[in-house]
Amino acid sequence: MKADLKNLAKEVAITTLDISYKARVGHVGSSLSISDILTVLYFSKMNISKKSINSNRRDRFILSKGHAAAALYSVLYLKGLISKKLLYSFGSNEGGLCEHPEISTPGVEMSTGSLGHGLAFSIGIALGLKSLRFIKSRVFVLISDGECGEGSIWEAALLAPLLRLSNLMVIIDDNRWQCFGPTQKITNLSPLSSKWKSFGWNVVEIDGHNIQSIVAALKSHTSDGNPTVIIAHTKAGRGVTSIENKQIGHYKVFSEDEYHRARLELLNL
Amino acid sequence: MRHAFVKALCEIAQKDERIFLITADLGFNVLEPFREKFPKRFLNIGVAEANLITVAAGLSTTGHVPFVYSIATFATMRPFEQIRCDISLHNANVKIIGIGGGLAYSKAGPTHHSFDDIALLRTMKNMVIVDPCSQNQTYEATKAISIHKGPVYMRIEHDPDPPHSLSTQKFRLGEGEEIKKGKSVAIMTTGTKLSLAISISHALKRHGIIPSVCQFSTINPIDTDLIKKTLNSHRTVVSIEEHSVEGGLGSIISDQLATSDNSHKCRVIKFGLNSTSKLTTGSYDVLMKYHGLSKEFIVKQIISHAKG
Repeated sequence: MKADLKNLAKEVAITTLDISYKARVGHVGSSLSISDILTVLYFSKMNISKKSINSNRRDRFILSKGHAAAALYSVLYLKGLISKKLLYSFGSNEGGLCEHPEISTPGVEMSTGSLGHGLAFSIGIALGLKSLRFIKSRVFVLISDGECGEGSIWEAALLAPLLRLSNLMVIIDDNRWQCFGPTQKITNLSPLSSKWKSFGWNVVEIDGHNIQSIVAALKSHTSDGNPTVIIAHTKAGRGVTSIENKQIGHYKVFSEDEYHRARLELLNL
Repeated sequence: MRHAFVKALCEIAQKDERIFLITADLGFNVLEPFREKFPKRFLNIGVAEANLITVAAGLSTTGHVPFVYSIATFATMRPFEQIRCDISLHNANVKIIGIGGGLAYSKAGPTHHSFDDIALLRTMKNMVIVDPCSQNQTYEATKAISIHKGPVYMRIEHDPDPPHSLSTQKFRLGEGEEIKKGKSVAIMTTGTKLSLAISISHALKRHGIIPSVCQFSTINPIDTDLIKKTLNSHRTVVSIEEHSVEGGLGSIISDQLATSDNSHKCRVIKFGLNSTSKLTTGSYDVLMKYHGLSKEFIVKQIISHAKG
C-alpha cells in the first residue's frame, strides 16, 4: 500500500506539473508542497468515489489554499472523478477548469481562491453532518501557513473546539513561504503548534512528504471530542530543484527545457 | 418586527428540522423563544460575523437551512466578501436577517446606520432582497423565504406606525403591490416607509392630488412589470425609502425609466437617506425629518413639482 501510495504521489506531482506547464500558469510550488498529502487523503483515507460523490454521507475535502488547485485536479482525475479532457482544460481559453477550484467541478466541495474561508466553511459542514448524526463522515480542510494571517482563520479556530467537532481535521501546509518571502519575515506565526493548542485543538506535527507519517497522522483520533490539526512541514516545489523551497516557486511558469528537466526530476524522485 | 420574525421561524422550525438559527451575539430578549424550543439548532457564534456567514454557508451544503442574525450593518458589511464568495457564488441556501435597517439605531451613530446594505447586496449574484413593511408582513415574508431555495437578505427596519399590516394582499416573493390606484402621481416605496407613503397620499388628497401608492417588499428580483406599468401611466413617480437614494429603490426605478417607453413624459423624484449627512445621532423621528423623510416635506415637494 505504501509503495502504491508513493507511486501515486509521484503521478499526482507529475500530472500537476504537466497541466500547469500546458496552461502556462504558476503556483506549481504551492501545488507540489501538498501533492503527497492529497494522495494519501484521497487514496487511503477518504470515503469518496465516483459512486459516492453525491452521497450526503461522503467524506469532504476543502482546499482552502485554492491556488494549489492543480494538485487537487490531478488527484480528482486519478481518482476517476473528473475526465482527462476536463483535467487538461485547466487554464484554457475555452472556459475549462479555473486556476482556483470552482464548485461546478465534480469533486470540488467549495469554490476557493480568496484565503481564509475554508476552515469556517468546513466547520459548517462538520456541524451539519454531526446534526444529521452521520458519525462516520469526516471533513478535511487544507489551509496554508501563510493563510493563517487571515483573521477569519482564528475566528473559526476558536469555534470548532467549542462545538466538539471531532469529525473535523485541519491540515496546515507549513511550507514557510508566502507571496513576498518567508512567512517568518512577513507574518511570523511561530510558534504555530502552541497557538492551535491554546485554542483547544489536538495538534500533530509531521513531515508532510513522508507517506507513512501522513497515513499515521490522518488516523489520529482522540476521545476528548476536540478537532485535530496536523501541521505538515512541507517544501514548496518539492522535488523540482529550480523551485524547491524558493520564493519563485509561487510564480514560475516553466519554459520547455525547464519543464522537461523538472519532469525528469519528479520521475526519479 | 423582530418578534414577528422569531415567531414565524419557530413555527417553521417546528415542522422543518433543517432550520438553524445562528446569531453573532445579538438578539437578546428576541431570539430566546427559538433557543428554548430548539437548543440544538440554535448557535450563538459569538462576535464573529465572518464566521457567521461562512459557517452558515458550509452548513447549508448538508441540506440545512441556516438563518443568520445580526444588525444590518454587521451582517452585510463586515462579512461582505464572505457573503460574496461563500453564499452568493455558491448559491447557498442561507437567509441573512439584518435588523435595524436604515436609521433604526438612530442614537447609536453612523456605525449602526444601515443606508447602503441594499445597494451593496443588489450586486450579489443569486441574492433575493426582502424589505417588509410591517410586523404581519415580516411574519409572512419569513415563511416565504424559508421555502425559497437560495440566498436571501431580509432587512428588518424600525417598527412602523401602525405596526401591523398596511398591505392588503398576502406577501409573495418578487411581487410588488399597488396599494392605492390614483393618477398622474405615483409613490413607490419599500420597507416600513409604506406607512409614510400612505399618510402622504392622504395629505395630497386634500390638495386635489390622488396618487397611486405601490409597495415593493421584494427589492430583488423586483416587480419590473409593476414599475414599468406605473412609469408608463403617471407623469411623476416619487420613491420613498429608508436607504440611500443611491443604489436603492429610487435607483432601480430610475434604471427602469431609462428604458421605459414613457421616459420623456415621466420624471422620478427620489426621497431617501443622504449618505453625507452631518447629523449622525438623534431620535429616530428627528433623523427622519433631517433626511427629508417626513410627510410635511415630501407633500410640499410633490405639490411644488405638480405645479411646475
